[in-house]
Amino acid sequence: MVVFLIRRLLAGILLVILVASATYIMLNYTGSDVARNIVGETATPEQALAKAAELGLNRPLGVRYFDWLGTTLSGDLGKSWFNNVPVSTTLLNGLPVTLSIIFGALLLSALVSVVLGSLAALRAGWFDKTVQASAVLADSIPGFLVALVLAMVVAVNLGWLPATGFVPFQRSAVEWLRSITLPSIALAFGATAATTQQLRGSMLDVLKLDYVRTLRSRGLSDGRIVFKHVLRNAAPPAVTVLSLQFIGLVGGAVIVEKVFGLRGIGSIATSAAVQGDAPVVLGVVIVMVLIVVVVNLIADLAYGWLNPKVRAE
Amino acid sequence: MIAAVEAPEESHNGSEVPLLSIEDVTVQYPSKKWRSPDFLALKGVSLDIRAGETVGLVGESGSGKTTLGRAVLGLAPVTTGRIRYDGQVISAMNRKQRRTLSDEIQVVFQDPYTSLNPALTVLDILTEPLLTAGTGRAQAEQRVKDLLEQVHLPRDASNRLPREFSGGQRQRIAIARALCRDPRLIVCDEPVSALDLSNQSRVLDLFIEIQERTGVSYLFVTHDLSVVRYISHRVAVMYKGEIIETGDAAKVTTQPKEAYTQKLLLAAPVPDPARQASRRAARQKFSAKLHVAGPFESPAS
Repeated sequence: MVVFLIRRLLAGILLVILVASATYIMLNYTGSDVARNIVGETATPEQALAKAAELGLNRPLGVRYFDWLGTTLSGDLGKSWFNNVPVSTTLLNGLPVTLSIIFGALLLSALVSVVLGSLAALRAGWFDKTVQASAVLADSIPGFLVALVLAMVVAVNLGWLPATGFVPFQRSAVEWLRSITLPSIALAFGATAATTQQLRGSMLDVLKLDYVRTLRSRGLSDGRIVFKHVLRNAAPPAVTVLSLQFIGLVGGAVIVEKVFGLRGIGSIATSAAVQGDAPVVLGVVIVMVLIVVVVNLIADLAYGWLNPKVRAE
Repeated sequence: MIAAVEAPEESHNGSEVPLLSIEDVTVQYPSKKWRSPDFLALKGVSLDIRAGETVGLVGESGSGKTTLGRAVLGLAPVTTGRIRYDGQVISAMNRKQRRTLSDEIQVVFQDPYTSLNPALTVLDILTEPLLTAGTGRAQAEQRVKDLLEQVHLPRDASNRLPREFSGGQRQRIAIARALCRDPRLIVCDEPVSALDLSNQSRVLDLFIEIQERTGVSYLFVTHDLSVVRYISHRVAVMYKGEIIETGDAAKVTTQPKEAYTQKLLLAAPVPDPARQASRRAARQKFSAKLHVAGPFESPAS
């Protein structure tokens, strides 16, 4: 178990280094003149060259890369090229926002898909068909559209929840929850659809088995059978789907943050990428890959708990 | 509660009230295709099982024998007719009422690989019915120890998962689960068909041993005539949803009256090539004479 954890963590760290390195090299070929962006349109070419030299951009790519790799591995993510704020500070400001809506969406997907997936598996007929049709629909509607409609209808027209902005949990738990509700719902749509369908399918497989038939012959209620006996055996494929969806949630957060005017990691990353602010982009990439690695590790552990057959020795 | 133990030799002399009585039961499944007729899985089946008795239910695949077992367990919808257990009509019970029967009627299924929850340890599998019924944990765990002994499994089996056991051992766990609330009737749906021959006879002996000790009745569904001959007091032969012959086990399995039963008997292979060849010839002659569709149309399940 400990060996398994260490091996997975080492593989995860390697993945972070590889993804960050690839990002570093790709950023070099975006074609935008960073130094010119920083000094502005009115500056002379000499000033732009001086700025490039200051940032070390006149050195060969290989030298810059290993220089960057060294400082990053020592734990220093550097400073923004544009406003000189340390990258770690920017990330610490944005992370609570993004993590709140991503984990909100994850929790929402898990809960809703357990309820809908179980009911659809138990009640063949119109309910099942409705759930399946809605799942296909929810999966194919673009996330930004859902976000826009939610923001317009629930927040602007009905005024039930705030349309924009984020309230930190420390300031007010209730306001925090209100501020992340709509973004989380918008983000959860696709993941919920996929997980519900997977759970419905694996649930149907388990419900056919003789041990469930044995429980039914004893007259136990559906709820008891599902929650005490079936769910744990039907969950592993759904957990896998949900952990794969998580990567999609990270991407989806970028759009949802834009729609709801949240200053999270997603909006930080997009503006930094457009400007060519390499330290910020790299910081975002490193943190996001790390989170994905950790979430997948948790999913693997959950899988082992749910299904003793795959438990890592 | 009535004492469960009754001497088996007295119980099938036909004079007393049966423990289970199936009266003219029909099970009809609505057709899945549009405008095609509904499927009649059982057509007016009647059968009695007395306390301490084993009734073997034989027939080819699709003859309705499994459906009959499920109807007794409340897993198949009884369309007409009724099933009475100990005088009480159980065929129209809802799930909640059915719960009160769970210490009376139990089940052992064919496939020991799907009949045990793979996520639970043997201890959890065996204590679950007891804890659900309100037994205390310490008492339930003591009961599991006794049960494991009764089905000849090692005591340390309780902390292991089903996957750590062989098919025969898993079937013993399933039998222990069926026994844990001292039922008076166990529906056995092909309980030895998935086991190899040496395990088959050991598990069959276990069934007989348990019956001799507890006086439990069995409705023993199987397609295997030698199994049914070995374990049953009486045998009922099913064909296309009907019981076509009932009688003493030795008689039905050696000198059947009905042509179909004779054919079923001839279909069972014997471990002697010369005799098997002559039986095959007899069976073919027989099939030519007979217009009923035989047990060779579909492979045995």
